[in-house]
Amino acid sequence: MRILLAIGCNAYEHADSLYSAEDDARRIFNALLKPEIGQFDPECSLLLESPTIEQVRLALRKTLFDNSDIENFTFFFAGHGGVSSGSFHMWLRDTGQKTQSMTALSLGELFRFLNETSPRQSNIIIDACQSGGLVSDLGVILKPELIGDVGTPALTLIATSAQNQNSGETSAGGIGTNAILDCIEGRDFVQDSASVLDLVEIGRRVSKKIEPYGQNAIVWGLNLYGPPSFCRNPRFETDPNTSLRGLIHHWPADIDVAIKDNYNEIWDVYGVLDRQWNATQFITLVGAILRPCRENGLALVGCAERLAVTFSAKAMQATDVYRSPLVSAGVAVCLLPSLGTSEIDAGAEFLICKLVDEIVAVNELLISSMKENKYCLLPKDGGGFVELYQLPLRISKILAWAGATYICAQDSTKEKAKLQFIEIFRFALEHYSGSIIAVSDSQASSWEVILTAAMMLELNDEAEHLVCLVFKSILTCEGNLSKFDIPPEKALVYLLSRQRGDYSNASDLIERPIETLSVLLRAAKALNLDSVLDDYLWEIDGLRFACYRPTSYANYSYINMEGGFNEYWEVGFDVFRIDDFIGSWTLSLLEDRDLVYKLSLVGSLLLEDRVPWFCLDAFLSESS
Amino acid sequence: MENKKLFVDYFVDSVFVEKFNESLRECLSKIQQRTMAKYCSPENAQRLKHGVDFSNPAAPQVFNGGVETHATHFEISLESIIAHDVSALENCFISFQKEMGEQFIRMVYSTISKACDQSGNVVDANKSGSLSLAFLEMLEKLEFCIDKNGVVSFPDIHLGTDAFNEFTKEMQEATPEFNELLESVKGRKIAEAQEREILRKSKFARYGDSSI
Repeated sequence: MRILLAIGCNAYEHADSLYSAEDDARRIFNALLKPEIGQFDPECSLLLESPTIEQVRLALRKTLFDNSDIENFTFFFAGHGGVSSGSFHMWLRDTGQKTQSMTALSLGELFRFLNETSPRQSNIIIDACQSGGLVSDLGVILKPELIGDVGTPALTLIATSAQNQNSGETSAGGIGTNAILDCIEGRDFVQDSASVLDLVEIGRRVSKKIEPYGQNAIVWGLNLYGPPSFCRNPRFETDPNTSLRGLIHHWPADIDVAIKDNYNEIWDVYGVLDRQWNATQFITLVGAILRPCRENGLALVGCAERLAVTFSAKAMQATDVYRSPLVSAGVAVCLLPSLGTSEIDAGAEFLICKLVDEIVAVNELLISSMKENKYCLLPKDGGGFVELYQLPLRISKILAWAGATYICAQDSTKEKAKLQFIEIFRFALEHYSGSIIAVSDSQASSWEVILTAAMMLELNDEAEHLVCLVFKSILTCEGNLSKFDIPPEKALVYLLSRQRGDYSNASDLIERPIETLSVLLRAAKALNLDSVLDDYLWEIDGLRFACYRPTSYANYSYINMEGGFNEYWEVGFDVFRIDDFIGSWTLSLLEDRDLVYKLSLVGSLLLEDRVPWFCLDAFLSESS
Repeated sequence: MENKKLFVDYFVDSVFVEKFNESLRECLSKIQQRTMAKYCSPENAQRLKHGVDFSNPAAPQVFNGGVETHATHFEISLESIIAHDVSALENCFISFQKEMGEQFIRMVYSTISKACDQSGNVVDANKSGSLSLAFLEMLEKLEFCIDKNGVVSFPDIHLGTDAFNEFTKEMQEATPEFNELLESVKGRKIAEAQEREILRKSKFARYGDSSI
């Protein structure tokens, strides 16, 4: 049980009136009774305004002696005070200067009450003149028979002025009380590393704060043990950098060289994660941090999970709801080169599950938005002409990540992910078909994944519709797609060139050769659309397309992959019909339950300069 | 204190430096692209994102010259910098253009030469008897290029200065019979190119008119 007795005395029969003491007590009382601040018991706590000494003694009896097992007893006093006859006295309504021992509440008397009832923790806050004089009474409690043994009460005292100082009040309240309330209610920062504030740390903060007012607040802590318990900390974990500071602090010491070597980059990436996303930069950083762990599977997985949690926490502050899943994906992909042991495989599965859960949640939000507003895929702020470039990319990414989520989901979330993909796909085809176009070759991996998911779900009509839309857009621009890494400031030049059909000023912005056509022609073959598309290949006579085939898909987390093969074809030179291309295509096959399959698929969506060819190849292999 | 002197800067803006160097890289890249464009249309330049090996699985007969690395370096002395010698910039660009350009041109001719050796498309001017006769023999071996709009382009002729002067002189002094023979060969080659183009287009399922 937590009990508060707050006393504020404005009215005095034998002394000058005060203006704010009652209000001070009321504010402290109201604040500490709030569940989110002090959680003091509203039934057992008492507020007294300008009471007499008898009323105070009665209140003390009621709060201290009529309740048992008091975990925390807090006593607050605002009013006149002074040292007299070797003791500090708190003046009440009927206190007389020459009869303080009888008519004022001495701290010694309060201590004797506390000695007898022994609440586990007692807090005494006195906002009165000369309150530092309470040191005179400490001898009452500083006895070995009263404190020092196990279970003996702990005591914290704050006096808002020194023994030889006055405590001031303003129209806004007592100076000391205001400072204390600022700490309790979060207007002033004490610390953010613990969820609970201790009265000692509040006292130290208050002491510094009210010094300019000529008051020297003093705090004593006697027989303190256990965790702090005065009130909740309103500033706990409000620092957006808390999670990274925690990560760095608790990183295993034997492999902290990676942290030290990448310290600046870690903070740089973390600091802007809620505003900017760069997959290459993030994966490079995570890869560097995890490098020393690669010899130890458990350490690698443990560190990867910590990184995912830490950076996800920051990413969740972004307005872009995909930021956090992209972080999880980026960390997961960095485990690709180390797959093959049970602990790392388990760690990778865990991160994939985390990613799937996050995307499922995002999809749910998206579907809900789609039902309310068909323009929900446009940005809430900004937008405009830039969407002529960004929207097609956004649509392909949304569909691709929804498709990837279905492909990578475990049985428990498979059905939900499936329904979400279908709903989002059909919504996009219905309302955004004009923007389901190839603008950049960076979309190649997205088309591969979307079409794979669609074909896995036998959504052949929808898949055919998408192939035709994207193929038509390639015919329209004659295969002049922008480079996957086009600088943002050049996107407008590209758009204008595309609109005019004149790329002479944008030659350096065009991707040559493109991988998008390699995706579409294979999809057309798998969907038996090849004879339809064959009739239109003449329109891209001369267009070169390609495929980079890695030595291993486990390399799909490397920013630059060495080895492997680049294969080229040219419409009108060695490809006149889709079968000419398919006839010379080498199938890549991976099991779709394989971790390499899932992580390299995720890696291709993140890095956008590589395609998971094994996705559609599974359907080509069935039909061949 | 002595160690500290080695690692401090005085009013150095590293972000400015990075952006300036990026613009310098772009400048040099444009110089190289201009050189390359004299021998190879920018639309024919392909980019590798990963790996270095490349192939044409549907046309294995196509000559593959492989990938080469071209490199150059330029030094600017500390003395030149503190003397504010801006001509060092221009000298850098000239040197870069010369060095990288030479490497590129050498690669172009070397690749063509190897391709010709492989295909047998080689004419010995000594055996032919003269440059003009060798030229006729070359035309016989060549196929003229034709684009998809039916426009025929004649082969570019690259000669060294002495060979160019000699060739020009011979062509100016050529007999009417020779010129007639030359025109006849050209006409035949153009017709062959057009026929090849018709054949090529016939390989498509359809060619010309309407769209999706």
